[in-house]
Amino acid sequence: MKHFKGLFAAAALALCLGACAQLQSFEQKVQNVVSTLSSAQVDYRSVTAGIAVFEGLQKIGETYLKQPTCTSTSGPICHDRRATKPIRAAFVAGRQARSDVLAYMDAHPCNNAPACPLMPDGVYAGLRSAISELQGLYSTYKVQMGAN
Amino acid sequence: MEAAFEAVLVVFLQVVQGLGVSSAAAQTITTIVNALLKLIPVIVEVAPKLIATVKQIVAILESNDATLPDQIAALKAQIPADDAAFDAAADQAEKNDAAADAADAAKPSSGS
Repeated sequence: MKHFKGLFAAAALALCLGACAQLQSFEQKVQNVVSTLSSAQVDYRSVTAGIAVFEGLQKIGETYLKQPTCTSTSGPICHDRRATKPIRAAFVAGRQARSDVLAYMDAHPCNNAPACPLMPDGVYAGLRSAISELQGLYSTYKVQMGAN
Repeated sequence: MEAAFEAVLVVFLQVVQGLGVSSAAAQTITTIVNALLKLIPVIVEVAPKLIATVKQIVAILESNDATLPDQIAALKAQIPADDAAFDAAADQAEKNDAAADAADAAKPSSGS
């Protein structure tokens, strides 16, 4: 049943892309669904997708920080200097979590196995938490990709 | 524009947190993949550098136990370059921030 709620949430996202004013409430709904999910193990496909999301967030952060520092005379494409250190710190923590996940996958490979193994949720939890923190920071500082 | 970018982050959040169960149904993955594919026109406008990332996530979600190791290997191979590019940008940003702080401090105060 909880999965069906997730399905409805995903469908709602697709529908609201043209009317994104509802995105905040949608995000809250997604987070509510997520908070009700509990699992002991995570499949490797989801974990790998999570790593790819982390890399995507890092690309966003890189592009954002390449923008000039916002000042009274800077243009609209700039980065908030208050964001630099928190974003960097979040990536430092996230990289450690990513390393933990990759180390587990190295120790428990799915090569030559009938199926890829499952990962204890506790191993993946650090990366998931880091990604959530980064998304919170991007929202707080209104991080955009800009033109560069 | 800002809301569209938020849409990208929301779908990322769902990829990370909504899929993380061992019993994730194939239909759930298909739904998320479709949501990602529908985002591509938005991403072209607001964040073209993310297109490769979104396509990579789609490829991972569509992989099976036989092809997933290749996806994992490709992802691991790109990590050093991703980290280095971010660190270089962060280093430069910190220098720029310090220069902006110094410029602010050097400005004569007004109103007195």
